[in-house]
Amino acid sequence: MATESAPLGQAPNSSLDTLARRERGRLFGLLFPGLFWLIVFFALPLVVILLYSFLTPGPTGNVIWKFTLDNYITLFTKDLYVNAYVRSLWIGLVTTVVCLLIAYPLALYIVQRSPRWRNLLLFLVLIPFWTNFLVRTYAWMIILANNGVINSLLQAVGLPRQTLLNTTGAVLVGLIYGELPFMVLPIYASIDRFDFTLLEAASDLGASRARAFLRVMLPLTMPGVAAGSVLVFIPTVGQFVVSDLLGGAKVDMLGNLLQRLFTRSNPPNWPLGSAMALVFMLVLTVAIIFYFRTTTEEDR
Amino acid sequence: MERFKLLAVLLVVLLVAAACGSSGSGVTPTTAPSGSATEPTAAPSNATEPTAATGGDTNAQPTTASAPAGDELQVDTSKLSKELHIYNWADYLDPQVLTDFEKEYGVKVTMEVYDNNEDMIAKIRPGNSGYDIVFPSDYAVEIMWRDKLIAPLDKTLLPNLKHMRKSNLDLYYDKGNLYSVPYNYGTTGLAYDKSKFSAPVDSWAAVFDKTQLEANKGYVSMLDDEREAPGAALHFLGKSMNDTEPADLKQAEELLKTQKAYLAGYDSSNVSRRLASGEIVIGQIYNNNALQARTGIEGDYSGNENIAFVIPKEGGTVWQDNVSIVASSPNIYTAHVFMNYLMKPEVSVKNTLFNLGVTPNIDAEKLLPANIQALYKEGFAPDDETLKRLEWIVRNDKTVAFTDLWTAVKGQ
Repeated sequence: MATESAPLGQAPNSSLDTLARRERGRLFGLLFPGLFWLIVFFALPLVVILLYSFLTPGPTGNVIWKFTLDNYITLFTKDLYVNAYVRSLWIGLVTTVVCLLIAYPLALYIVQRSPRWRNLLLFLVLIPFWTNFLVRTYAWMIILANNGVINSLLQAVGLPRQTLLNTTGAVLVGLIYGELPFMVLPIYASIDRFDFTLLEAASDLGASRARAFLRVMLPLTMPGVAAGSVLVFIPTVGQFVVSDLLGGAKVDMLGNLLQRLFTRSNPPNWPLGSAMALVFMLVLTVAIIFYFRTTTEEDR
Repeated sequence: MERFKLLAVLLVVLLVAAACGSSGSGVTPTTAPSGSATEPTAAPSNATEPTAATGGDTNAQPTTASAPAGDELQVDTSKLSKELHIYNWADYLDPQVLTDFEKEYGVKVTMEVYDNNEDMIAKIRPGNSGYDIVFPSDYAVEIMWRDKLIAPLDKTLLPNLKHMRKSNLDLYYDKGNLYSVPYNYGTTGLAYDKSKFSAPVDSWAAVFDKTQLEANKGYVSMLDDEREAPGAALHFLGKSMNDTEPADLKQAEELLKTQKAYLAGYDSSNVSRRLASGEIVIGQIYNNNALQARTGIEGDYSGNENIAFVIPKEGGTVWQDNVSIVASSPNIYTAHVFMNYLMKPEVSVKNTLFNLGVTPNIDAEKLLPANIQALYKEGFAPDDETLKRLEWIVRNDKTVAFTDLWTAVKGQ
């Protein structure tokens, strides 16, 4: 992108001659595929959602072309919708923090191995991706079920059965398990670039190990942490498969609510669903901007 | 410059998130519990798309004229179209039936599937859908004929209507069956494992009364459906499941919220499997799924002899799926012929054995294997006495209140 924008900056200097025009044409040609892609697959659907969110739901799941703000008023005034946002953001936050706490030490450990081991370990982190996420979630169901693997083991050693599946805990386990690689990889990348001699320099200058980590290593690997957190947080908040399967459809996340509004409720309410999706996007965007602000602050 | 970088990163992240989101939704049909009362989860998957290509030479002259006269339909083969497109629930129609129809009439039949009425209506509504035949549920039939999405029927082309049970015809959503003929019907009640209960279950109290719930904590399930679960609560309270009085709804909501702590989960698609395997001991369920829990599904899971199905004394739900002809269909005549074919007892029984529902076709019922007929009698199909306790789910502008009620219960 940066190299592409350079000719554009020079264009005014060389006045309006054919060369500049040709440059501009070339630039447009280069940008066109990307722009086309963004407009058709990103901007246009978003406009449709925006439009729908201001329309009135019809009695048979259709949409009536009558402009209204009711959908947004419902979202911000009814407790049950506000609660849905709070709950999902909370689950997303817990998942992200736990992933971070597991992934950072893990990534650090992997970086410090010999190259051969390092590749093997990274490979192991990636292996779960070879199996469909849905199948892996079903595997968790088998592990956690009332007659499942864990409970069979417990009973074999004479301990009472535990209710593991269909709880918020099970949903969190499933989410953390599923999202962990997305946290490990970016952190691994940034720790890999980290110059470990800086830690020696810090201790030479009298910093304790904890201090050296907090003041030197953590700030320098922050981009990885930030990227990982965003990659984990966003999909988690919108999840609905894991909460349905591992939570027995009892743990209601925003994704579940959206899915119901669009397809399951009678009649489906697309306008309210659209408004909900947009507000959700806005909340996430604000959260992410805030996050990037606070994390890049460290650089200055 | 920093700003732009930030924005670019953001955009990329959002795109990635969007991509993840869409791949997520790509799997919904298989994972999400179905909320529809009419979705049959019968039979080993596959084969929803019959390979019409096997139909062979479409120009072959069928010899239906040789069929015994009487009230059989005399099909004018010259008026038949070359193709017929049907849009149906998944695993609802025996693919063999389509192959047989192709062989007999030389009409190439293609079937596509949907998993709720709303999706189907959304596809038919703009017109020109390309489908000739659809299978709308009770209330959907009403929406569709009011909106002129389905065509009026020519009864002279449907002599096999005579095989239908009276109580399944002339229903509230289509008086006089001007637009639809019944295909399959069913009920919603409770299925339970007899070996885990000292006395037969006959009341919704089994899943709403606290002391009874305590005995089976973590082994109870309710349908993941905004009308069925609250409907059961309303029945337990002695109300109609179509009651929209705010005070009654509030009471039902509280009941469901209390119940939630005792549930294994809300589930519409795997109740039969879970009952059969003992993951739950009692659950709200559609009668066809209850029958599956009892008989098992070949090549999938084995049945459980102890499973019983009951419509609680306070009441239950009845639903019926129907066959209708899409208004914009260019093949109205062929569609009638197909419709009439589906009502033939020998054909109808094949579909019933395939989806394990209850057939509205009296003469097809007689052809069912003895064991299934016995199970029907045992309670898996409603008798006349039970039918009186059943309610149709009504949808109107007041029943949107159930969406909020359900959101509140689920979000607790």
